[in-house]
Amino acid sequence: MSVAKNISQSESNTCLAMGNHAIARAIVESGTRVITSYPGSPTPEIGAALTSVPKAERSFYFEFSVNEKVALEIAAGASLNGHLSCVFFKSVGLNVASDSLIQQSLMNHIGGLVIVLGDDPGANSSQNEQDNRHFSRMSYIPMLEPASPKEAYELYLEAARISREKQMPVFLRLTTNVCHARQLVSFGGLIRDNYSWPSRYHRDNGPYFPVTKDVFPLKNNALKKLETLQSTANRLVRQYSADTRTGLGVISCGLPALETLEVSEAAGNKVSVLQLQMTWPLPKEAVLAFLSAHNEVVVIEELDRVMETEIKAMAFDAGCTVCIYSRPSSEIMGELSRHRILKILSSIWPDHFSASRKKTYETFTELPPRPPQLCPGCGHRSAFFAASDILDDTSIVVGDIGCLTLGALPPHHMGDILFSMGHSVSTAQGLALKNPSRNVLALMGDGTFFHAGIPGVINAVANQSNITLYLLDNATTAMTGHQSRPGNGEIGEKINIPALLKSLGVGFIRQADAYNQTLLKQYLQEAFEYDGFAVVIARHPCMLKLTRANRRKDPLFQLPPVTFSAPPDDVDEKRILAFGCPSFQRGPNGEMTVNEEMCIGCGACLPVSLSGVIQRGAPVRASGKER
Amino acid sequence: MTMTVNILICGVGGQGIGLMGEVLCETLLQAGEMVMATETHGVAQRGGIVTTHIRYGKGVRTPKIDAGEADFVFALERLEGARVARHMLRPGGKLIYYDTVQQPQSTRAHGVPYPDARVVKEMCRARGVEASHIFVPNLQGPQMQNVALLGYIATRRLISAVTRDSVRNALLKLLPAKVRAHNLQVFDSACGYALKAQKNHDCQVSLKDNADASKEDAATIRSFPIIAGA
Ligand code: SF4
Ligand code: SF4
Repeated sequence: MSVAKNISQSESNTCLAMGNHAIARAIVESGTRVITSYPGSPTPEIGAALTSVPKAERSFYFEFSVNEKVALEIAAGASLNGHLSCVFFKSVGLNVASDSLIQQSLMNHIGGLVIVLGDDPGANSSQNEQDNRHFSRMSYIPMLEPASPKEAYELYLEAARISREKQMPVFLRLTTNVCHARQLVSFGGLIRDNYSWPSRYHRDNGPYFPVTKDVFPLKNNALKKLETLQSTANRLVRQYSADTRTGLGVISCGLPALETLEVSEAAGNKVSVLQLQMTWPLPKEAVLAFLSAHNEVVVIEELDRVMETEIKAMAFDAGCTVCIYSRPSSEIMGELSRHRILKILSSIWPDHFSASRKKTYETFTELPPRPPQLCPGCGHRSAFFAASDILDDTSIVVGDIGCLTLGALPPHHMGDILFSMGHSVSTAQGLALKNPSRNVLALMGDGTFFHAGIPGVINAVANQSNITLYLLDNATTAMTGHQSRPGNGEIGEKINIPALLKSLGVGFIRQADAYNQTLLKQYLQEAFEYDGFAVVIARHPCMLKLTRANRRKDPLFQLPPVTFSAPPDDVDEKRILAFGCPSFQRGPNGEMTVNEEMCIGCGACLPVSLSGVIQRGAPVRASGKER
Repeated sequence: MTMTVNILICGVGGQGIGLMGEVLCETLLQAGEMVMATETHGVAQRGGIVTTHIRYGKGVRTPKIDAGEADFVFALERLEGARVARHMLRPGGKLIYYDTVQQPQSTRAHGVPYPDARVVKEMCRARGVEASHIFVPNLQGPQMQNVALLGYIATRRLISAVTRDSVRNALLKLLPAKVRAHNLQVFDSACGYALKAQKNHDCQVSLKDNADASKEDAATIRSFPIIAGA
């Protein structure tokens, strides 16, 4: 059954659901009406699942907004108008949204607002591994944390219920391996209604305007609402008792709670596990009861010592004599695993757990690493190749977020500094201050430009910063799975980037197809010579997206791969390696060959060879040669 | 219920790992197993490493497989098969890979040796695990390699729930109509291929208990000469 069917079918059904899909079903089942997001791993599949439902069958409004702050504000606005709303994004997305997020607990959310966070312990696909549980404390917003797809489904429904009942925002915090996990989940039925979208906003439900003296009654209100959550928090716990009375216990939450349980069961089930599903505010009664029933307790949580600190304070205040151990400080970084948890437990309770030192096999045979790389035919590669001819050793290249982040890796080495989405222009401006002797180049993708890049551009124009923005426009949000961006579809369809730049007062704007090396080089050279803020746009559609679209039409679609008419000379070989299309590989004797399975026949590499040895292939394709 | 079995599928972004995972999960579910799975892909859509973890059987509460506890590694690329097998297989575990090559940057640019099939085999033997591979000539396009590998896995009857019929049914259920016929054709020819190969190298698999197997984990760690190129 397709995802769309599992999400939109009225009857209850059971299926092997990914955490993200389970959330999507819960969104629909709970009657959430407005859902917004900015795409980012590990959550974009929630959006993919929602959009897989045909528009006519949708009981909800969904959009990928221009950034996380905008997405949050739309969902919050809809909630103030009485619609149950949800916003979801990745870990670092919360930083972008935080300015408006902090205000949400002051608002009386008559519709209800669920904020779904995809945190990324292990920094699998983010520039850091921040622990967003801190945000719940700072913003007075309660937080639920599921450990599995099944719990994700259940706790979304719970979060929606709490939010509606208490008229307050609620966080649902997922982590990568809850979002991407799959297990059988039983979904409830859907009540199909003809929602009439009543507009219920009224200022009497507020006030919604926290200034001066109004701030304090609102803040007081937020704190009071949190206090009313104790009974819910105490209900949302799961306790797994040990078989033997060892007096040992673990308090945990999220996936690590189940991992701890599995580790404990495998070792003879000698430890009780208390899993907290509401992790802010903590359930006082349940935690204190657990603490006083045990002699020794460890708090196992991923990343920072958030619960541990609070539970220790709770025990201290209650005069509890239980011994609460800390995880070793080596364990506060990265994703936990059963092995790591076993290691923690065996270091604390060596009589009950033994972590047989696992052999590491890394040194066994040397194998080359495989960093991610730009796809065959990616326009970014061509853009980097052109720039590498113009930049010199003193140039500074500021990177940004997106597929172009991969430019920092060999062979491109494009991008020395990375803070956050859309930072490059302003960071470049700072680097260029009183620094006329060095060329400063800011890289940015089109998605990021819309997301957070434009204020930096305005600032650079207003202050006549002498930097160049190299805007790599692939007409999509490629990194996260090709979601639309403003002006998606035909380049410039809705919002035309050059026209926008022009209206902002940018004095130098040039654009070329990224495959056109001659033009790009000329434009970059002129941009560096130009006195003021310059923009060079290198455009080429995302070739992964294009190739997939072609293969959807014809599963065997393939343009003929390029060939070598003669072995490349030393100069050409160097250039081909610097270009770095992954289709160029080494043959058995170290000679350069084209991997026909990978080459998409795009021709981006044709201008790379100076002697012209790279040639378009013959239109008939022979594949899968016998080895 | 079966004791815990851990299956790792790996390859390079874009090779169709996802479908393989879904097909295997489907066959296991049909056989009444309690399945948990998860995927890691980070930024791997862009030619990095992708893995799918599948765990089923008694005591499974979580989806991630830890180092040294995989019973099977199914790989769609030789180097990734070798890498993941080396790190993740339990002693006595099995690596099955589709023998295709995608050289990483360091091999292409700096000639860092890429292991050939013999090296992978030797490495696995010294590590106390078994390696075998399939390559189907005249496969139309690399998009079919996942289905070919499934044919090999099903034919070798490595996992009782994963048979030629159960995989066929899962493919029928999961594939869009447009590509169904062609995929099934590739699957069948891969099964035929595997049958032929099996005649020379029959291999019946018994799942040993992890604790039991760790006794054998005394293989000396030594390095092998690696031959450049593929
Ligand atoms: S997904 Fe598109 S933009 Fe990203 S690396 Fe591949 S071709 Fe380039
Ligand atoms: S034609 Fe082939 S080798 Fe050349 S850039 Fe395109 S994908 Fe790479």
